[in-house]
Amino acid sequence: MTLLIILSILSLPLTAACYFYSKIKLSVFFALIFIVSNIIFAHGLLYEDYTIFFYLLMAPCVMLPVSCLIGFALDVKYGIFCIDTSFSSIVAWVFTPILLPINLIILFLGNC
Amino acid sequence: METAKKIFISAGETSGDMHGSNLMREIHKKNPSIKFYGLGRNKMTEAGLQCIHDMSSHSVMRLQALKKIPGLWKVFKDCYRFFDEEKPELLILIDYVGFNLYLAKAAKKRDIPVMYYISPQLWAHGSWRIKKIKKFVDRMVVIYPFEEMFYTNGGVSAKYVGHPLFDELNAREIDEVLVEKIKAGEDQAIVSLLPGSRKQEIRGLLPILLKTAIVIHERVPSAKFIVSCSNTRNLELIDSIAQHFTSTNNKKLSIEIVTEKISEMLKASSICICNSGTVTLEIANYQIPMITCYRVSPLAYFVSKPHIDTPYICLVNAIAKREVVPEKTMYRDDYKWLASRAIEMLLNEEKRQMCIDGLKEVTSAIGSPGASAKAADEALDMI
Repeated sequence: MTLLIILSILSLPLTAACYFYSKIKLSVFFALIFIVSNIIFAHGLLYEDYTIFFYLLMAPCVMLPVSCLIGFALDVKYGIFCIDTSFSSIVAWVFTPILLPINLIILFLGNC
Repeated sequence: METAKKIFISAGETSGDMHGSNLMREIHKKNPSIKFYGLGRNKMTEAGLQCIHDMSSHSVMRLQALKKIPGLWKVFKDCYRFFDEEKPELLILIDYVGFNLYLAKAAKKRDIPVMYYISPQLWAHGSWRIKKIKKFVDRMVVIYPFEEMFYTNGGVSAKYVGHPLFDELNAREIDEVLVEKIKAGEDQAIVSLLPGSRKQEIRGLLPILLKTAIVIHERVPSAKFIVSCSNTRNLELIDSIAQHFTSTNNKKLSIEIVTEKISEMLKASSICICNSGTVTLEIANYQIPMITCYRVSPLAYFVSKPHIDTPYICLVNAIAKREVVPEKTMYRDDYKWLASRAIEMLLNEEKRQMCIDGLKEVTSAIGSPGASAKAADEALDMI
């Protein structure tokens, strides 16, 4: 669990730094670490007793941003949408990082 | 008997409406039988557009667009129906890319040629979108010299015609009496503050410009400050921000608001501090030194930074390919930076002259009139 928490916390600023300096592949790598570690983290904390809450958390914080980013990647590669899909980055940066504080709050409340 | 040719023309914003109306007049001069249908505002309607939808109520920015989706959907449906029933000879799109690209796609499906006049600024951000332009647009008619190369390298047919703003400026008559009235005294430095034309921009930038004015006023007490109000609809907002600001910060600071007479205001100015946009070209036209900035939220700055493909956001610098005028993308209230550059430009004659020389260079490169007429030639060539 400790390793998971460290990975979750460290991967977020690393993703942000790589993104800001346009190191996109590295940013995707750290983003994947952040997302996967936080999914496992949330799964461990919530899935057994609060399954619905787990899915309610995953929908806006993982499924929505990831599907937007996949759409964005396809658009950059093939130019398939008329709409400017760069808003996907905003969706991802607004919703995905929320996972970490929520997980930490749940962990803290569980330990109280 | 040959039937009159039909051109469908679409412009969403006020500036697009103005450029669209000028283009329509030029096309009419060359071929009076052409009929125009489409989407526009009052100026295009005055120029002879049979308006399918007035876009005044549909033009929105960012998230506000979500509220307008049902209305825009109806606009699309009516346009598609028009394409099917009337089959126009040409579709002309003017800027407004978020909307117009859908029309381009629909027209392409129906084998209607598409000309895009006043390109979205793909060279500045999101250059990958050129793939969509290549798919849906037959010819780009561009207004900045470097755009022609940008599109040609991307495999899109492009023609540079010049900036239509200079047609407008060339035809505009300057009220010299008003210029002298604004100047008031020979020794007074006139600092013009141009916070933009949209309410959102004004709310974000005007308070920073006023803070800048206070710092300049401390160093150059004789300076006179003028705020531009390009549209009377924004007068109340500008007035309330300025009054609130002077009453809470510096009661001695005198600020005058000039409504609509922007050319006269610019001509009377010693320097301008402005939002980076087309207005920078208008200021360059009068060769007034300027400092430009672009206000964004910290989140928007962070998210958009990797998508920015140009070292210069300011059009003057982008055209010159070097920093002719100081520019800054601001994610915080960096009024001290603006003030220090403005003071330098006011007091350092060498800097000032360098800036003026750079502006002369830019206007000699793009400042000649005739863009609308050349764009009209391109349109008629496609029919």
